[in-house]
Amino acid sequence: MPAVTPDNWTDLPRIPEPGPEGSERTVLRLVTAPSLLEGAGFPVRRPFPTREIGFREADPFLLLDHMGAVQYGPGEAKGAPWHPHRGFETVTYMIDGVMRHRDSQGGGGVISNGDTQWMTAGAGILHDEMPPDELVASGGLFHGIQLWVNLPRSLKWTPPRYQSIAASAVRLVASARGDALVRIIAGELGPYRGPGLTWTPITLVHASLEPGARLAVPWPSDFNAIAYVLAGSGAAGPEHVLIREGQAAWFGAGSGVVVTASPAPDSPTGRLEVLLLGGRPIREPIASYGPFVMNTREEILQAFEDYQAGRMGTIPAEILDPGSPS
Amino acid sequence: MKRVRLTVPPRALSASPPFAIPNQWRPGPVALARVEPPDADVVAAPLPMRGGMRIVVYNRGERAVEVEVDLPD
Repeated sequence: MPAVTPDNWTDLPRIPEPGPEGSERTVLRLVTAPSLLEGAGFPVRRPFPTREIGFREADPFLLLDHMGAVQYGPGEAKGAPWHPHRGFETVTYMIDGVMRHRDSQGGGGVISNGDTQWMTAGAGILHDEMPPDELVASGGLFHGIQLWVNLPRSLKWTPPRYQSIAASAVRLVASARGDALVRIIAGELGPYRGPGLTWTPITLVHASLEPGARLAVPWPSDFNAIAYVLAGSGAAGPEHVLIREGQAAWFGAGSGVVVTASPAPDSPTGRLEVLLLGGRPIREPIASYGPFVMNTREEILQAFEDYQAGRMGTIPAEILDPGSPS
Repeated sequence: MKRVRLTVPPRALSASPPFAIPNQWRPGPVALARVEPPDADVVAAPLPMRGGMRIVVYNRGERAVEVEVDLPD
């Protein structure tokens, strides 16, 4: 798992553990993510939205897709060809492998091995998310997540924008005992802040816990909190609810979150790999239809009309006809 | 091709079952094979939905509409 991982964690700043016992959030719901196919047929696990963690529990998040980890053979790698979005943000974090993005405004780039791409769809955009031709030809490891972050009514019509967050920009810290590496992609964790700029106050963290390690972190009491296991096994909350790869734990109220790694996490890295995410709920009505997330049904119908009429943008001409002069 | 029939309620969207697409696929105009009544005010486009790409039909009118659409194999 090459997501940025220094050889030595002991020199990193330590996150102070939260205050007195009793402030740790307990696990209220646990879900095993169902599997499904997306785009051109790549497999994902989706812990939310589900019956256990619905829009209300996930708020301000809408959806989490765990892509892989999958070892593609030659010709097998698949992506998500051109499609629209409106009304929210997509956050794509690549742990292993490479993905290429292009959009209807001429933007895009390549992210790999610990990079994050943060796309604010806002008023509407078309994009594609594909494995590069070289990866399709040769095959290779592919592992990442895509998170959808809702936008409040006042920001749903904000102009689209991209943030490309290099792996080297991610804020690295360690647990209080130094036995867990914490990558802060966005938001705050204790006194430390990640590089992602968020419209909605959120925290997004990828932590790697050594066997038997404990990660206890302060968590804003007005945020929700979810832990999702990317690989390995461990426990969540003060009551030590067992969690393993593909499971998400949704926490109740409190001012701290704790996860612990199994003595033998049984993952490719030998560690518990876990996402911690949370944010301040938006608490607005949600109307969702495929790639559109608005506040009302009428706005969904308008989004479909706008997409169908080309008002969310069009595929750039040089992509439709690669031989044409740019 | 696989032809499917959809009933679209008034002022509503209906989606076809998902169909497989290759990496090179790009969205384009959707021709409906049949619309009943023929003068119904409907538009269609492909959208990524749960489980894959689907053809979505929007009925702008105030009466239910039946449409048939051909999905790629």
